Amino acid sequence: MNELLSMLVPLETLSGWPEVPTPSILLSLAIFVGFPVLVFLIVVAINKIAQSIHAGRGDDYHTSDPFWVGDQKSAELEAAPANPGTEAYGRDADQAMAREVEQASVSEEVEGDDTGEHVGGAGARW
Amino acid sequence: MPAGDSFTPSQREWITRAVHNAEAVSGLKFSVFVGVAEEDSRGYAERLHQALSDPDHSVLVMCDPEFHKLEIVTGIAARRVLSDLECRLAAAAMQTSFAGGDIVGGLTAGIQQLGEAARQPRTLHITRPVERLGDIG
Repeated sequence: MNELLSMLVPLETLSGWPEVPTPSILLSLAIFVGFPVLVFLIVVAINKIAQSIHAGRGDDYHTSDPFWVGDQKSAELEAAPANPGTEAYGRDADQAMAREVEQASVSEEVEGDDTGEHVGGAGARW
Repeated sequence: MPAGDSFTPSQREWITRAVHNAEAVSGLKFSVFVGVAEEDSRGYAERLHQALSDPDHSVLVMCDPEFHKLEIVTGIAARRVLSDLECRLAAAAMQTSFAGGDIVGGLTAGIQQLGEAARQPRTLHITRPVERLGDIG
C-alpha cells in the first residue's frame, strides 16, 4: 500500500529538503475518495437547483390535459390517450395508413401544378 | 402536472394575445393546441383543424411537449396567403426555442411570425369610407 501510495505521493525526502511527513490513511481517503464524492455532490446539487428553477417557471410540461386557444366547432375535443404509442396507434393505424396513401396519391396528382386545394403547413421535431 | 395548470396565467395571456394580434394583422383565424398528440401527429393535427368552425380560413398550431412534436396546419384559403415555406420558417424558429425549453416563448414568437407572414395589405378603395360628392373640393 505504501509503495502504491508512494507512486502518487512521494514519501522520500530529498537531501536538503525538510522532512516530509507520511500521510495518514484518513488524509489519503479524503484526497482520493472524499474529494471526488464532494465534486459529484456539487454537480448533483446544481442540477437539482436548475430543475427546481425550471419547474418554478413552468417549463416542465406534463400534458395530461390539453391547452387550447382558438375556435372550434365541436365542443368535445378528441383527446389522445396518455400512451399514444400503443393503443391509439393500433386503433388508428389503418386510418393513418389510408390517409397517408390518399395524401400521397393527391400529392402525386398535384405535383408540379399545385392548385392549393388541400391543407398545407409544416412540422418539426425537437 | 396538466398542461393547463403548467402554464401560468401570464403565459396563457401571452399566447392568447399573440393569437389575437396574428388574427388582427392577417385576417385569418389562429388556433393553438398544446397537448399529447397521437402517433400520427400530422393526421391528428389535421383532424383538429377540421374540427374548427372555419377550417379553410384557419391556421392551427399544435405543440406536443411530451413527445416533442410541432405541427402547423393551414386551411385551403389560408394557404394562399401563408405559404408552406413561411410555415416551415416559423416552425424552424419555434423548434429552436422549444429545444431550449422555452415553450411559451417559441409559441408566441412563432404565431406572431405566422401572422406577419400572412399580413394583408390595406386596400384603400375598399377600406376608406365612401365620400359624398358635396364634400369633395
